[in-house]
Amino acid sequence: MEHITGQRVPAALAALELSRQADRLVIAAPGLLAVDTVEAHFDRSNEITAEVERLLSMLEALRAQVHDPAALDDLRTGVDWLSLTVINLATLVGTRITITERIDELKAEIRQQLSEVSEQLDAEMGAVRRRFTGGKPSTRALQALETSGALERLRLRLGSLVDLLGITVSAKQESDLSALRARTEAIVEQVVHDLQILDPAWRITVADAASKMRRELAEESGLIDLRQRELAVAADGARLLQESGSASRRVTAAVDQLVQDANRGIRDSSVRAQDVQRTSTWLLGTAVGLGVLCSVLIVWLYVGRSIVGRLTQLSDSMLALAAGDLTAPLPAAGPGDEIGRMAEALRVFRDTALEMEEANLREIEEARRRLTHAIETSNEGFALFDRDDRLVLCNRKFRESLYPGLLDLVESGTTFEDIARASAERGLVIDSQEREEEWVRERMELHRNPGQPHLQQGRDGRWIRVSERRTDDGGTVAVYTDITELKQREEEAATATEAKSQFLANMSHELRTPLNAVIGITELLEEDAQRQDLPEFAEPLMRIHRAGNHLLHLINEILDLSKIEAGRLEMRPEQIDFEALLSESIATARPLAEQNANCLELRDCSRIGNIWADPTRLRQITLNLLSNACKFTERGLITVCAQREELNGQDWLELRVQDTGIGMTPEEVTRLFNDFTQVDSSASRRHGGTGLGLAICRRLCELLGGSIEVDSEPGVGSTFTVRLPLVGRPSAVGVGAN
Amino acid sequence: MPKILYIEDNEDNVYMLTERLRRRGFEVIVAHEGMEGLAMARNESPDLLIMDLGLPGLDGWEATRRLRADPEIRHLPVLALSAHAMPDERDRAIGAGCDDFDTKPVNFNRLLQKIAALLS
Repeated sequence: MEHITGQRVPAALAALELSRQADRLVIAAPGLLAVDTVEAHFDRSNEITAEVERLLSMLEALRAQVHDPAALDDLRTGVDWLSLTVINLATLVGTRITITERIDELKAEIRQQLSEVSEQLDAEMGAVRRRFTGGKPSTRALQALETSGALERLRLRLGSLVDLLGITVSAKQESDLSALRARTEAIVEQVVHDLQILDPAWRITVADAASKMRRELAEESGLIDLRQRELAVAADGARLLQESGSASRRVTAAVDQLVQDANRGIRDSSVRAQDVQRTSTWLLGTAVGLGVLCSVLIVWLYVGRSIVGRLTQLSDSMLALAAGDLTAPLPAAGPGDEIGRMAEALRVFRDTALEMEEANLREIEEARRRLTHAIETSNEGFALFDRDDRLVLCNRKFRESLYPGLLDLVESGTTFEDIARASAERGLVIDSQEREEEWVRERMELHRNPGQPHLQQGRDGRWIRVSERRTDDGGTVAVYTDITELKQREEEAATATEAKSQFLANMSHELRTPLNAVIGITELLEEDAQRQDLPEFAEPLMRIHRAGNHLLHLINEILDLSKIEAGRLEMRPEQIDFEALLSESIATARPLAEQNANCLELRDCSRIGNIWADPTRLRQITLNLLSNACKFTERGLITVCAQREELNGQDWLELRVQDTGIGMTPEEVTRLFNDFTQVDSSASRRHGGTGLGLAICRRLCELLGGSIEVDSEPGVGSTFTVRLPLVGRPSAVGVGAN
Repeated sequence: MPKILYIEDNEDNVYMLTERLRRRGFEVIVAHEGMEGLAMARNESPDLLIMDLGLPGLDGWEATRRLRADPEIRHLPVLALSAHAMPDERDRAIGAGCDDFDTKPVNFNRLLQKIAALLS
């Protein structure tokens, strides 16, 4: 594996890099061929040489990494071949450029010579023509004519040579060049031949030029030859280019071989590595198995016999302790090893637990004693029943004072029902007399579903309040409170109230009887005074009459209040026209309003219609509010307004009496509806009245299921608002008529 | 002229009401206790009785019951007059056999109306 990753893979990677370098060279080669100046060739050659050197150095580096000599040889052959080819190509290109330059030079020279010959030819032609036109037809003229023809031919041949020159330079094949060479020779021969007829003076000149031209064209290193070599070089270049491709392919093939080798190497080493791993796993497993086996053997043979036995003993003791058995035997402390120390620690733990348990027991006992004492000395009877309804504990008060006739039964384990039945059968509870079973049934119902406390009256007349509660564990706690004294006080209070009411009623009766005479006789005297025309008696009689009526009013109010207190005020509701009732009350109050120069107004109340109410009491409330407003207002305005309104889904009558009188402070308002209260005690002297009116109003409103409230500001005035529920006339006639 | 038997133990009240009724043209005879009243009702043939309820001895309720039990005089209208103003007072009076009820102090005009109603 290491061999693969450390050597073969890097070698393959380097070979791939080398292959890419070879490709770069092959791709650069055609570019080299296209070069056509010496300078460019120089630069490109240098670049190519550098690339080749790089390729070679890569090969050198690879050699150290590749250990397969055959593959390396292949690669080296390919690389050498490629390098050689490319270098050759560069050299060839140099040669081609030299040849091309030479061809250009020759071409220029030949053209030069052709041009010179052509000029001489032209000059000769001119001379000949002059000779021909200046003389008589003669031999000389014929000669000139003949010369002129030769010159003309020569010119044509020279033109042919120029054409040949162009053809040569662009000739594409070797065979073409041989034909060209032959033609050139022929033309030059003809030229030389043609020269024979020319003036010997410049025949030599032209001949020299012609032979030079022939040399430059057709002989060795002549133009044709050069062109021939140029073509050969081009062919060489194409071949070399092909060869470089082949060499590159060879390099690539060699590199592929290397890479494949590397891949194969990787696969092989992977397979080998897996083999090695399997082998290792098996070896490890075997070793572990053997280790475990050995451990087990050691534990079984050695530890098991000497340690486990003691540990088992310890564990048994611990379990016993945990289960609460603090007296369980503990293993001996034994040798001073870990197990010995553990046994010692367990002993300490056990001793501490014993101490703590004793302390706990003492505390529990103390708490129990305190609780028992508290329960025992409680002034209330106490009994606790368990979930099976059996007596668990009770105190002395319960046993001895409350149910003294049950001493034989009141002990732990007796069921509640047995106790209840016995107390009924033995006549201990007054309510159970002559209906024992029924009473027991009712009592058990109360006991099973404890709610509000209930009362029992014992045979001895004592009243017991029984409060029962369920405990969390399904039992019942019962507390029995002797409320005989409370009951007596309640009864005394009720009796006192009754006595007070009775007293007031009697007083009322006793007061009314003489008052009847006073008022009646006063009225009699008033009649007399009027009949006998004695006006001087009118005022004193009126005063007696008024005082009598006032006294009567007081007595009525006191009586009302006592009736309300005694719960003896009965409502006698009937269908009444509220508007009429209100108008009548206003009419009654009007003289009172006028006394203080007040304006009394009734606002619209027509929407109230007929209502079901006690007219006497309603009138009493209305009149009271009106007379108060009139009394406490001077030269002001008193407005009465009534409306029907819906509140909480019920119809209400709202009666409002508003005045612009003296008003009250908030403190005065709070005392306003109390009995015998007039805001200012001097007010009763000024305004008269008992101070009971509003207290009675409040109670009447409450009796009617409504309310009264006041909103007042000193110096501004007061507004009294009465709200009464508007109930429909019931279908059963005469509610409260009995 | 209607004849009214007024049974009342309080002299001031007797004086006051007798005087006022006589001025209105009634003939008034007076008894001061229940038994006397019943005897006068039998012997004097009054047209109407005004019965105070809180009488010494035989009280007004009992006297009325006895009157209603006596075939000779059971037809006589009885107007109860009481200084008791408790709400059940009226019921008690009617229950005892009285035809109507009024309270003291007397509202004279109202009393006259009630008398007129009973006599008609």
